[in-house]
Amino acid sequence: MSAKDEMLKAIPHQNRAAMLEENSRGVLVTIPMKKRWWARAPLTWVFPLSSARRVQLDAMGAWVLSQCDGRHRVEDVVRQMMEKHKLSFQESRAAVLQFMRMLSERGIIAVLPGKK
Amino acid sequence: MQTFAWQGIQFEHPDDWECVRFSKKRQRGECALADPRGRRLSLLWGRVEAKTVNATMILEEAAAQLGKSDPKGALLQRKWQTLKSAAGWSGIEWRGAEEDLTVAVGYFADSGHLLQAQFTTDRKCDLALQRRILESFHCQKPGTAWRWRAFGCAVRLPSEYDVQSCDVFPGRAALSFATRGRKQQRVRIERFALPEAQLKGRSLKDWFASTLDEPKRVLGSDGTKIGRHTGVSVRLKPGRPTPLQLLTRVKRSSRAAVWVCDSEERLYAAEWEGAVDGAPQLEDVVSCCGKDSR
Repeated sequence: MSAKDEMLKAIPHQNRAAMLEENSRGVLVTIPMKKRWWARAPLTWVFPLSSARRVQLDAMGAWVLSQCDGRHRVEDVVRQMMEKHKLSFQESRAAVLQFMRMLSERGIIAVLPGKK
Repeated sequence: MQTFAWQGIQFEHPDDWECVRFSKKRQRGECALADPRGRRLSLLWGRVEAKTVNATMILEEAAAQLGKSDPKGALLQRKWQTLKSAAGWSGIEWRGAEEDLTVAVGYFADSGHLLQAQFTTDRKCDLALQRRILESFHCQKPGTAWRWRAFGCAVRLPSEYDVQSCDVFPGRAALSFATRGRKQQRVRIERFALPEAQLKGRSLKDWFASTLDEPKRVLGSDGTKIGRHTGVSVRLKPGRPTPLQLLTRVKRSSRAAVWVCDSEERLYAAEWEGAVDGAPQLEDVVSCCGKDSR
């Protein structure tokens, strides 16, 4: 199985600690961050460091995140996206994989290998 | 089956195949089509004289190369020919360790195109489909109107127009064509997915004006019909002239057509810029709804 196929068979899971809040622009995702040893007074008096990371998603991003429920494979999300927005498979795959990589880098989701 | 047309070469392919690699060169180049499982067809083209074409030698070289790159593979069928096509395709079949390959070579004497098509299959080789694709190939002659059909865009332009740029991103394809010389003509076609996300409630004219770079700007607009769709026809201030156009004071103008194709759910923007005489009708150049341009 090629790396591309493995990625399509992988299953994205949403970070359980992430908090979702709907707003007019879509969904605001808040992810609590581990407190760094150096993030303490008096540094925090000068630089107010946030204890959480916030990511604003638009409606389409929120939909992709809603599909990252540990049940759908990446390929399922790609195919659903393709049908929903009349995209071609390659277009949909590129968009979904790029977006999932961004979500993964920000700690919102984790993509685990699917069953072979 | 769908039509793929690029650089004067045209053929039919299954609906789930898409172009994933392309070359902008007319004389010699390569393109590849893939389905969701992987690459299915690689096509190499070159414009050569008939006397230099030796299909047998090309196939022997291809078989030797396959033997080196895949020592576990074996040549299944030494040579076959299709007579239905003008190109007189001949080919070999290779059973590889991981995938099967069919390499075919054809020559179109009318246009001088030498083509090498390589089909890749990871399952059972569908020879009937491969022959059908090969028989659908035809090359367009210089001096005629050429069809371009790729990335969802269907364009028909005189053969003097050559592709200048091709930008393909998820949900967006942009093709630019231009002629050479003092009276240069440029045509740019952009096709966007999710029209509502692009427009964000703006009118077609306002959206298009927001996409223009300096020194281009909208001079005026009118409602127009493009095929079955209602769109806007926009008069534009042309961009910067080339040094030759500046020196020889070529009178230039620019206009565009913008519309939404409801059946494809795509937003189209077609823009022309060039010397005043010889302007094409944008409505005749680009087509949508899966139809070919007139």
